[in-house]
Amino acid sequence: MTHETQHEAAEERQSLWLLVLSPSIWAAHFLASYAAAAVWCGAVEDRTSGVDTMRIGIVISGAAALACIGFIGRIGWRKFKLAGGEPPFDKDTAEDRHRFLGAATVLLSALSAVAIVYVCLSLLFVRNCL
Amino acid sequence: MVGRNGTDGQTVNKDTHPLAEAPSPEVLRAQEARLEEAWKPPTGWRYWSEVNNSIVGIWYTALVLFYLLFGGVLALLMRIQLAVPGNTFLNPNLYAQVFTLHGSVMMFLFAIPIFEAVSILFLPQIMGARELPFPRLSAFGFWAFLIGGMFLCGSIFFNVAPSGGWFMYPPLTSRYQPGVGADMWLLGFSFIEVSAIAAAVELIVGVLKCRPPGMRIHLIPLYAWYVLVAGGMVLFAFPPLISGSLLLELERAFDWPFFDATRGGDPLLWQHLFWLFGHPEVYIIFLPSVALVAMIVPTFARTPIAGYKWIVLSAIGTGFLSFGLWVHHMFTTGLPGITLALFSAASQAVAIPTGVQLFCFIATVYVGRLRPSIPMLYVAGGLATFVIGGLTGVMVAVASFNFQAHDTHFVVAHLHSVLIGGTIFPVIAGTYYFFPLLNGKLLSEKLGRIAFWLLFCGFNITFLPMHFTGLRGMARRVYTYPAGMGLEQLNLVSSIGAFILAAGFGVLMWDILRPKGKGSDSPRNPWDAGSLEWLQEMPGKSWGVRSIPEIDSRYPLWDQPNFVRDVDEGRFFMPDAEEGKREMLVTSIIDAKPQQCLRVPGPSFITLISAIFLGGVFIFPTFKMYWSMAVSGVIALGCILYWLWQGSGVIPEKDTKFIGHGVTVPLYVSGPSSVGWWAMMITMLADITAFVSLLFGYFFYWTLHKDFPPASIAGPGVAWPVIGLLASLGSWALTILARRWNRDEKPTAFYAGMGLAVLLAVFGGYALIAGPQIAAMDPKVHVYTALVWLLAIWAVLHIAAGIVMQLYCVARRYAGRMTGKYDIDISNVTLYWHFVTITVAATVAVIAGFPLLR
Amino acid sequence: MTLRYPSIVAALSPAGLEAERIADLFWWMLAGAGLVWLGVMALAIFAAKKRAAGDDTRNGDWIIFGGAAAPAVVLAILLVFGLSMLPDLLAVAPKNALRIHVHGEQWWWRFRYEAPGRLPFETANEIRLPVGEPVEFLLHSTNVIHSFWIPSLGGKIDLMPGRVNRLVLHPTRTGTFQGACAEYCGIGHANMAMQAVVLSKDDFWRWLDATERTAKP
Repeated sequence: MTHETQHEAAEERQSLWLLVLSPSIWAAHFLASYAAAAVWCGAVEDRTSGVDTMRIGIVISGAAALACIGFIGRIGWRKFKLAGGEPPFDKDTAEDRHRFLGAATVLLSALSAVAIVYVCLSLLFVRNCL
Repeated sequence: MVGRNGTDGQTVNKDTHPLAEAPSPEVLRAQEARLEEAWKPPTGWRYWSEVNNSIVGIWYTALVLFYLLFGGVLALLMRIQLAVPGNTFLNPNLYAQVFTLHGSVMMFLFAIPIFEAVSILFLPQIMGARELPFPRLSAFGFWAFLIGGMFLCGSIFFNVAPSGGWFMYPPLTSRYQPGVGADMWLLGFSFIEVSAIAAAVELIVGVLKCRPPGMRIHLIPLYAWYVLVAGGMVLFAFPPLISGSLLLELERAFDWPFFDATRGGDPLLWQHLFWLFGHPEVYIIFLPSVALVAMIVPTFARTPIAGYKWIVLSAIGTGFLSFGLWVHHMFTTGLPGITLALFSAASQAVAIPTGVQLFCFIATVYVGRLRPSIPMLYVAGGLATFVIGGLTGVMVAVASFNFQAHDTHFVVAHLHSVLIGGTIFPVIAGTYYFFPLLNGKLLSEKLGRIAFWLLFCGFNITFLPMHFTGLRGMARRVYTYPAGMGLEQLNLVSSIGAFILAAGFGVLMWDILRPKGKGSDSPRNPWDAGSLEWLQEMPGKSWGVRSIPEIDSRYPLWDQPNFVRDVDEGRFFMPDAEEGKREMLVTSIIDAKPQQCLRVPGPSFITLISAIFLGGVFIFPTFKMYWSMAVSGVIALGCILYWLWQGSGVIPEKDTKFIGHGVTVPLYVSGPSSVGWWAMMITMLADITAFVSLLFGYFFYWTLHKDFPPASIAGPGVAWPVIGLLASLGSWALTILARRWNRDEKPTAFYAGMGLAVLLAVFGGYALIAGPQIAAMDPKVHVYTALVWLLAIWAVLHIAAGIVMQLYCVARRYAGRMTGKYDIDISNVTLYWHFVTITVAATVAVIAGFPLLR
Repeated sequence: MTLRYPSIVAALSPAGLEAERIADLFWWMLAGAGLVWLGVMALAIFAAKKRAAGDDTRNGDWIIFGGAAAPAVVLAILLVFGLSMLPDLLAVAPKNALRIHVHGEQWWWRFRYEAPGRLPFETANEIRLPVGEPVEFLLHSTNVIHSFWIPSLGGKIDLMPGRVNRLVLHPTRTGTFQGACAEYCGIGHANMAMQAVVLSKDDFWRWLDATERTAKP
């Protein structure tokens, strides 16, 4: 393979994973939060005892997840804004393929970020394991 | 060159242009004759051995329609019973069978299979392919669907249908329903779920690997994106139900106390596993249906879809988020508020991608110039209905409101709104739209309109009142209700509406089934659409697409000049079947560069025979006939081995084939470029998900009990499980080495290595059983012992399958059907063994290692 | 059984604090849902009827972007609003509140009153409650899953074998209110109804005293 196609090929494998990385981060954060809640509330004797530590943990890890998703979104944004393209990115070129995958990555990152924000919002009123 | 392990096939000119001139008429006729010869279906009774997607797809769709009508009649029976209070049309026991079968048939035998049937029928054409990559697997799926479905539907005629609701909650179904009904549900639907996973494997591989050259990932038709996502969801959603069904059946048949609270079990685990399946299930149903809309709207708006990337976002986003919703079916079970909050959050979030795609369709209509048509009428009706359902869904997703609405007719109204609006109407739209592809005929506009208004009005008259009856206090799954609660009039209205709805279906069925005369009355591409399935001539030819086109656009029929002519005149790839074989093109995942000319098998009865005996494995234990089950299993295994031996990994007569335009591709590929490797990988992802569901059960009980594993019960110890792990690690390592020795043409080393691998695997399996056996663990005593036994047996069964595969490789080499160059068999078996190793290692870590942490 | 029961929508004619809060939420959601449905339908009809114009693609983009952004905001608000009442709905009752143990049988309700300083007694299929006071239900099942639901008073809660679930209700009106089993529990499921009779405080304690005296041990 020529150097150009080798580079393209290597990029090929990267971008499809990149596409689903943000939703996967949402999933991991969600699963960890649910597991933490289940284990904690399963173990406490008194369900009225506070869960503030856990809530703070979920929000902090949520913030970290948001940072990662932001980073991925930025990578996607740079691909999306690859010079020269005009939406819709439906030309049969490698560049438009990059732009499309970049744009889709940005959108999925935004959705994943909103979903994480929702998770954190949902904890606003929860005080205990009741 | 035989492609292997990720190499990208041969070089291709970046943009292949069609041949400048058509071949001469004699050449064209000869090519068509050869294609016809290779692809034509057998005649007479041998017709039923066909595996071609176009024919299997028709059988599949017809059977799905039958099940739809069967489920619909069951609904009418329910509505007759509920029309007046205190009705005695159906006694409570029969009513329970009716509502259980109605839900189960609609969900398992209609809603999922319609996606599979339509995809089998049309996905290859939508992607300019001649076939799906594993035709015998689709045919097998059909036969399994026929056998399993008839088994289940037939049960009600003997008054033994399952009667625990479509969701089958224990302890009602574990301890309070003796008789075969519940077992039929658990085993019968597991059989069908397995065939659904097989379909998902095929469709995922089809979308990723079997596209026309140049159909890069951003040019794929949206239908294919949706199918890819839905197929992926099936892989992760169905296994938890299969695992859960295994647990429930083990409790029913052998008294293993997974859901028995007196012995450490908990009915809630079933609910988790069921809804881990059940929630993604409804999106698996919805996404492929809305995919039809994504193909229809651009055609009638006469413009490319607006927001293609937004729709891809919707599909993938919905796919992921839908796995975070399942507990919203369990909001009233007493779980902590923090859990309810988390799942309310995710349940709200999923509404965003769900809605976005609808706005994309509206935007497409806005940007274009809409032509009125019957398909668009149904799309409009679907939109109106689905949005109602989506909004009531958002309501019930809020945990606070859910406390009132859960398990009432409000939810019945919601679920039917989204299913009928989001699946039935789009599927009917698709029926009117795609019908000409079946036999070149058009359906009637007049009948379509009549059917639409009957269906639309019938639907609303039936289900809108249920929002009220639910909030008035009418719970679900009630065979009657008391008078004087304000429920009579609304129920009567619903029942009348149900018959109007039924009339609509009647008109629709008449339009589909009425004799339409000979010849075709549809012009080619009757709707002037832009996507590849409309290349088809009316009526279609058995070979599918005349030549495999090079794609430059999302709507090739609109954008690429002389496109139809070029395909018809064989000016693209593979216009011929020189060796008389059925061939299709395999391409790379991202940019669809040609990688392989895949020869697919032709007609064979092995698919039907395998389905019969594998069906026996699920049907006999329903009646506790375990010896028959074992015999059936052995024969099924033999059938599957025969199937693989005869038809897969066939060493071709030459290494490569010229497919036109200066491109030569291999005929045989092994490793990650091959479709078989992907099929194994994807199947094993589903298998690992089922395993993880069992592990989830183990840790679920750990969170539940202060003392888990219970101190008073001896565990399997550490020694034997670790010995088992080491032995199976050895077997795995030797298998990998044997693959290399085979490749390096060192037969002695290969045979010795595989032989030792088999012995180690046998010993490993024995050692894993020895742990619980020697500790005298009794699975009936406590959920802990039952789980340890189950995990050990699961690992051992996987090792056993691995042994069969290792021996298969030895036999293949011995028979000369596998060589160093042609090594797809051991390549796939090694991949399988990677997953076995993960399974065994995780099992040992949990059953031997975890207790040490306490 | 003949039940005289007015033709009102039980869950939306609250007679208890929990039902009131949920009913309020429902009315807001219904109004919002109605507006959204009408809006989407209007947009769709407008899009279908529109004839070709210049700025189409950009407007199309706005439709899509709006269709993503607006729900994201509205749903966030709904989420917060809807969950804000959850802690109240799930809170425990005060220590000295009346406690009633609810046992789900196939197919009837067994209620066991345990008032502090009183002898416990049982009733079947009918409970009497004092208006204006919290009452805590403790839910037990030794057979299958049932669900305890009196829509006029509040939401439902399941009776899960192996667990004891808890529901607190605050009746705010006197009257007789229908209840039902809301989880399929076998062929008698539809007949497993119950009544909640809410009495004034005086009437209630008078009844309790009388029943305690006449109850067989």
